[in-house]
Amino acid sequence: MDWIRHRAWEREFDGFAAQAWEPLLRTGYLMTGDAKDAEDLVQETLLKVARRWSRVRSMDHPAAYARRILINLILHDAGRRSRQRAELWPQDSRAEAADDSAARALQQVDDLAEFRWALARLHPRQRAVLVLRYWADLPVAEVAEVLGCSEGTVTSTASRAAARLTEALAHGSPPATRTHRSASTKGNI
Amino acid sequence: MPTEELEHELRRAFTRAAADFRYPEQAGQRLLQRDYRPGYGRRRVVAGITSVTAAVAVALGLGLAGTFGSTPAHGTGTIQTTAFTLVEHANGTATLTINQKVLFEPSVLQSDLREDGIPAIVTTGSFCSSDPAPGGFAQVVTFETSQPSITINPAAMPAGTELSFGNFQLSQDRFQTVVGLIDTNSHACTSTPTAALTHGAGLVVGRAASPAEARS
Repeated sequence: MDWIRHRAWEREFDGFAAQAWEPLLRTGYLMTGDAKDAEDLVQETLLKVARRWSRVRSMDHPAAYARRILINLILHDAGRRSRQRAELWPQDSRAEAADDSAARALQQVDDLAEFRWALARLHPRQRAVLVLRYWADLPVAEVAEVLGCSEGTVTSTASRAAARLTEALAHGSPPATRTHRSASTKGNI
Repeated sequence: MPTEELEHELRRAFTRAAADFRYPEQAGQRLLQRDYRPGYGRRRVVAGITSVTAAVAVALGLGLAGTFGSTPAHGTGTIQTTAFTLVEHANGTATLTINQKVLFEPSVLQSDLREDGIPAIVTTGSFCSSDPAPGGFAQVVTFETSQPSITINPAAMPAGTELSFGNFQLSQDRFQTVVGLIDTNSHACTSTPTAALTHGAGLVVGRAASPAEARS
């Protein structure tokens, strides 16, 4: 049975949590788009880490382990709701937009709400690849390890996800922000 | 893989989006103090870490968990399990309260005592004692009769000694803990606690001490 049962370990865990909670919360937010969901998921993540602290404490990178737990929790949770969302977020037939136009679409986003909206339109695993690769700045191999897939899958998923993200930004229409955006001057994000 | 330019733009966008996230001020406080609760009554049921700890311990019938909540101040703190509570005091003593309705996990109590600077050997179904018993038990262990608590002063333990705890099941839901002081290098263990007590200093927790038990 693993649990924090020594005060010295408890202090170690407190130190770990003090460093880890904020990046975990931001990762959770980017993945879910919801602050309350993110906090719930980070709570659950820290609970799981605490339960296994006797093993986690000896790891080289406990934060990476916690991040993996968080991502898996999110993907598991998202899987339960994917059918509902499939109807709301139909596949984009123009997901293979060229990279140069994709970069331009990103440069033209002036409202972060649009970016988050576009991010939410991705499949959870696509979102996970982008968040891990471009926010957590993990190398491809590490992303593959977190998601339990090959490096090739990460690379191809990143390409499709980036294309779909920028396609959504260029052609999508989030209810409130797009109306506002159409009358605004676009700038770099 | 996206082009370098696109990757650069993606990094910029994610950095901005993450930085733009303003979490509730209390979020970090809740997470760090482990004051966990369901998020605004939403889908997830996340119990407080303390109650989860207790639930796990209760389910197993073992004392496994340290007390959570705010981190104990240096030199003081409490370890609470279903089987025992160990309170460490600022003066270096510790009060051990034993739940006589639960059989404790010996290795857990032993390691928790050692965390508090109290060398001890803890057994279930047997009790270890030395013959002759080292002197000084009354200075090391104090107690109130009829209370399942003892206060231990590790500073009073003679060199080369340690405490011995033996937990015995008397009936289906009744347990008895015998405590004694032993010579680390010379002791023997028996399954009969009363016989062990006659060898020297010791007491039965929660019961009025007999003269033999209280002898130092």
